[in-house]
Amino acid sequence: MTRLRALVRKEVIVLFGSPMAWIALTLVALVTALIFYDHLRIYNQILFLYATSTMGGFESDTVPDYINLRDTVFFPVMETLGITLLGIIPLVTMRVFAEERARGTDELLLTTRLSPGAIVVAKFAVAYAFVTLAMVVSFVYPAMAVSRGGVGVQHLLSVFVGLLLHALAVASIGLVCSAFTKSQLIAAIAGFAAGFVLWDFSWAGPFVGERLFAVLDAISIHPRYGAFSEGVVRVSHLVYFAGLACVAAALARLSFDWRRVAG
Amino acid sequence: MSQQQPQSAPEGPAEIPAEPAERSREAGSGVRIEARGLTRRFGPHVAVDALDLDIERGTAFGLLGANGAGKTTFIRMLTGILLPSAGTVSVDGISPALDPAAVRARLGFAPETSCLYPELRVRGFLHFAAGARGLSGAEAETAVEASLERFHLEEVTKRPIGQLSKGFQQRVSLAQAFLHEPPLVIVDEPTSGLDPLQQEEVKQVLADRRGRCTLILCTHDLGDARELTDEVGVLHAGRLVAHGPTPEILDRPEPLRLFRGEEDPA
Amino acid sequence: MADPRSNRPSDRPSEPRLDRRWQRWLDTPGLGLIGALALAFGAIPVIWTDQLPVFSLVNFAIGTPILLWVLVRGLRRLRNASAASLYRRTLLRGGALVAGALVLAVAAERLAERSGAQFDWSAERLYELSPAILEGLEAVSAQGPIEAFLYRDAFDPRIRSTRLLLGAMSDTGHLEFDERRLDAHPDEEDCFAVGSSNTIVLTLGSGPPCQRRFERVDRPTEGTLFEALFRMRPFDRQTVVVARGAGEGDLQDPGETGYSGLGEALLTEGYRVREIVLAAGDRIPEDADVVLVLAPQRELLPGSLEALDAYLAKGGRLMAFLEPGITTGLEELLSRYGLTSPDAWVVDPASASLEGDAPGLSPLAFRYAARHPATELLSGNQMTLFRGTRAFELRKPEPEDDIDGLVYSSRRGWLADDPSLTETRDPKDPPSDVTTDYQVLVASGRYPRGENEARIVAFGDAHLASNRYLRALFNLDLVMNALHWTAARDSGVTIRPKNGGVSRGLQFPIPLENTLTLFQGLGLLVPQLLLAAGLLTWARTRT
Repeated sequence: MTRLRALVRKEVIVLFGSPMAWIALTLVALVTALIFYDHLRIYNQILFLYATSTMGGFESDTVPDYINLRDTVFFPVMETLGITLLGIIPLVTMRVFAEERARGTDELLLTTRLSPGAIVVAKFAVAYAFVTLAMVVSFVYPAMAVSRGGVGVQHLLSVFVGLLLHALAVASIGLVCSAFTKSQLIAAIAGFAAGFVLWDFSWAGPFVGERLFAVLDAISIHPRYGAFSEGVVRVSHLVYFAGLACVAAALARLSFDWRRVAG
Repeated sequence: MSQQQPQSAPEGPAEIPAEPAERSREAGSGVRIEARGLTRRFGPHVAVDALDLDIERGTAFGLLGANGAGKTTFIRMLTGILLPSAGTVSVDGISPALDPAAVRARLGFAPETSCLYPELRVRGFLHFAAGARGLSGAEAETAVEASLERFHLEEVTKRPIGQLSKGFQQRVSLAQAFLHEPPLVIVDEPTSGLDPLQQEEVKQVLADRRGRCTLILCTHDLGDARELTDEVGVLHAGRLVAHGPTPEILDRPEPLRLFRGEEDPA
Repeated sequence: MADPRSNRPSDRPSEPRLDRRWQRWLDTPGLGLIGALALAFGAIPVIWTDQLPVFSLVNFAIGTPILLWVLVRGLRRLRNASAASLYRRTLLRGGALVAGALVLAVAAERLAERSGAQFDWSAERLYELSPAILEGLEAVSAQGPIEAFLYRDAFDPRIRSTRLLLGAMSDTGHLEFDERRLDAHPDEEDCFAVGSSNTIVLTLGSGPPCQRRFERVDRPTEGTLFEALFRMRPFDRQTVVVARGAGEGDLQDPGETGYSGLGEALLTEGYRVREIVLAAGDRIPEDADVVLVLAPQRELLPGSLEALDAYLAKGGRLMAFLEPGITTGLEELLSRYGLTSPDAWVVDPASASLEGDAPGLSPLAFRYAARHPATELLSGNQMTLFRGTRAFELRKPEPEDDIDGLVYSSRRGWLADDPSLTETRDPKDPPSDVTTDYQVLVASGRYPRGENEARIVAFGDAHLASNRYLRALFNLDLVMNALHWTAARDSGVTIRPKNGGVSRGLQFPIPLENTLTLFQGLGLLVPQLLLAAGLLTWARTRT
C-alpha cells in the first residue's frame, strides 16, 4: 500500500505539473459551456417564436413535443460532448505510459519494488480521477442552468453518470494505447481512432449480417451512453463499463510482459 | 545453445537489508552476479551475444563499451526489464527473468539525468523513491534526510528537479539509488554531460559508496572506470571482448581498440 | 577472468526461407503499420459513404496479407527463439489475465442484461411500465407468444428510447424483442406495411411472422404500445350508448372542449359506441351495456328521464357527467338513487387558481375511495383535475344498496351557490353559515334490484373528460376505470401509461438573463480559471 500510495502521489504531481492537463480541463469545460449555451439560446428562440400571439402561448399546446429542454438541449449537447471527449481525453491519457517510456523513467519505476500491476492500478486510478474531475467541472454549468427546467435531479445524475462512464471508457482505451507505445502522438491518435470505432458500430450495419451487427452493437459505447441520457441506468450498462475498464487494465498490464519479450 | 534452467528466489522476495553500510561491508557486502550464455536478439539484430560473466560480491564493476555495444540491454536483462533470448543471468542465484521482484528488492538503479521527473521537487522525489521501495513513515523520513545530507542536496530540497543543474540532477539520481542501502547498485553514465567540477563531486560520492555494495558502472568514459572500479568488462557488438581487473585492461597501450573490437586479449 | 572464447556467436533463429530480395522487403521495419494504415484508409469510405468501393477493396487486399504476414513472422520468431518457453510463459500469463478479464466482463454483462435490473431516473419515469401495460402483456401472452420487431435505420436516434421501452417490456418475460434492419426483410415489411424506421410490429402466435396476428405501432410510446396491446386482448366488445339531444358533449368533436379523446379511449379499450337521441324514443336499446350522459346543457325531456329510470330499474348502468350551474333533471333522477347533487360549486382552498379562474374552483383531487374497484389503484399522489364541479350528498335508498363517494375534495372544501363569491373572498375563509368538509366530487351506487344489478357513476364535472383535460394527470384513468366498473368489466380497471411525449414543464423557457449570467459566471469563468492555473504551472516549470 505504501508503494501504491507513493506512486499515486507522484502521478498526481506529474499530471498537474503539466500544462496539458490544465489545457484538457479547460477545453472540456469551455467546449461544454459553448455547446450548451448555444443550444439553450436556440431553444429559447424557438420557444419565443411559438409564444408569440400568432402562434399561441406556452399554454396552448402548439409547441411540438420534440421542442423541449431534454430533446432540444440536453440530448444534442451530450451527443456532441461525447464525440468531443473522444478527441480531448486521449490528449491526457497519451502521456500516462508513453511519456514514461519516452523519458526513460519507466526503467526507474521498474527497478523499484513497484510491480507492473501496481503501476497499472496507480496510473489508471489517477487518470480516472482526473477524468472525473474534468467531468464534474464541465457539468456544473449545464446542471445549474437546467436544474429549474424540469429535468430533475435524478435525470441529471443519470446523464452525468453516463457522461462520466463514457469519458472513463475513452480514458481506458487511451491508456491501453499509451501503454503499447512510447510515442505520445501515436498514443493520442490510436486512442482517438479506437474510441471512435468503439463509439458506435452503426456504420457497419449495411455490410455485416444481423447477428454480427448485434454483437458489434453490443460492444458499442454509444447505445449505452444513450440510455443514460434517457435517464435509464441499467445495471448491465454499469457492468459493461466496469468490464471495459478491467479489460483495459489487463491489456495495459500485458504491455509490460510484451515489452519484456519484445524489448 | 541449450537453455539453462534459471533459478527463482529460494524463499520469496528478499527484504531490503536495513543495516548500515559498515555492517553490510563487514558481512561481505553486495551480491554475486553470474551470466551464462546470455543472449538477446531484436529481430535479426543480436544485441547481447552469448555473454558469460561473473561479478563477485562488493566489486565495483565497470561495464564499458561504445554506444550500441549492448551495455543497456545487459542491464535491462539483469534488472528483469527484458527477457533473454537465450542463456541465463542471476543475482545471488535468483533469476530476474523468473523472479524480477526478488532481484529488484536488492537493487538500486541510477539512470541518466534525463530519466528523472522534472516536475517533482527533490524531497518529494526522494520520498516517492522511498515509498516505491516500501519505506514508509519515520523509516522513509530518516532515509530521505540521510540521503539529502549524504549527497549534499540540502540546499535544493524544495526545487523542482527540472530546474537543477546537471550535477545536482545526477546527485539526485544517485541519492534515490542508494536511498535504501541496496546490495546492488547500477549507475548509468554517471558523469555524462557534467562539467569537470561536477564530475569530481559525483566521483567523490561514488567513491564513498565503493565497497559497500556491488556497484555496476555503465560508462564509455575510461577515466571514470579507472577511478571508480575494481574490474571492468568491455562489450563490443554484444560480445564480451575483455574482462579483468581494471588496471590490467585499461592500462594497456591502446585500450580503445577494445571498444572497436580490434583486439582479443586472449 | 572469464574465457572470452566461450562467447561464441549464437545460433540464429530460422526464418521463413524466401528469395533474398523478397526477404528484405518483408523484413522492412514498420511493415505492420503499413498494413494497418491500408486497413484504416480502406475503412474510411465504408464508414463515410456506406459503400464498399474499389479503393477500399484494394486497401483491404493489401493490408490484410501484410498484417497476416507480420503476425506469422512474429509467431515463428517466437517459436524459434531459444527462450521460447520463457517468452510464452510470460505472454501467456498476461494474456490469460486479459482473457480472464474479458470472459468475466462478458459473463457479468450478460448476466446483468438478463436480469434486466435498471433504475428509471428519467424526469417522467418513462421506462417504468404502467400496470396497464403489464396487465396487457399478461393478458395477450396468455393467448400465445408475443414477439416485437423493431424496424430501424442504423442512424435513427429515436431508436434509443424505443429500444429502452421494448427492453423494459421484454424484461417482464411476456415478450420477445428483436431488432430488424430496415430493408433487410422486405417480405415482412410488405405484409406489415412498415414504411419507416422506428416502427414496431407486435405479433401474436408462432409460425412465419407474416402469418401471425399483428399490430403495427408507427410512433412507439408506452401509450401507443398499450393501445396496440389492448387491441390484441381478447374481449367481447360492450356497447356504450351515448345520449344526445339535450346539448350533451360530442364524442366526435376534436376541439379542446370536445370529447373525441374519450370516444377514442372507449374504442381502444374495447367498447362499441352508439349514439341515440333520447328524446326521440322512450326506451334505452336492449343491447346497451352502459348509458353515457355527458354534460347535457338543457333540461332533459320527461320522456328521456323516464326511459333512463326504467332502464335503471331493470338493472341498467348509467354514467353521468353533470355541470354546476345547469339543471338538467338528471339531478332528481340521481337523487332517487341516493346521489343528491345540490346546485352549488365546490370550492377547495387546497387548489390554486387555474387559467384565470378564481382560486379554489378547480379542485385538484387526491382523495379516492380506497376500496372501490374504480379508484383503488389511484393513490394520493395521482391527482385528478376538475374544472368547476358540483358535489354529491349520499344516502342509501334501500338497505341493500351500496353508495360510495369515489373522489373527494380536501377537508376544507365547501359549497358556494355563486362562483363569483370566490372572486372577492379568500377560499380559505368561507362564509360563516357554510360548513367545510370533504366534498364528494364523484359518486357511485350499486342497486341490486331483482335479477340484475343497476350501477351508476355520477361526476360533478364534465370538463375533466374533455379533450383539454382528459389526458391531464390521472383524469383518463379515473374516467375509464369508472366506466369499466359501471359496465361490470372490472378487469379493465388499470393505470394507463401517460402520454409518450414530454411534460409541459420541459417546455418552459429558461430566462435568457439567467442563462447569460450563468454562462459568464460558470460556463466561462471556470475554464478561464483553469487555464490561468495551467499557465502558472507552465511558467513555474519554465523558470
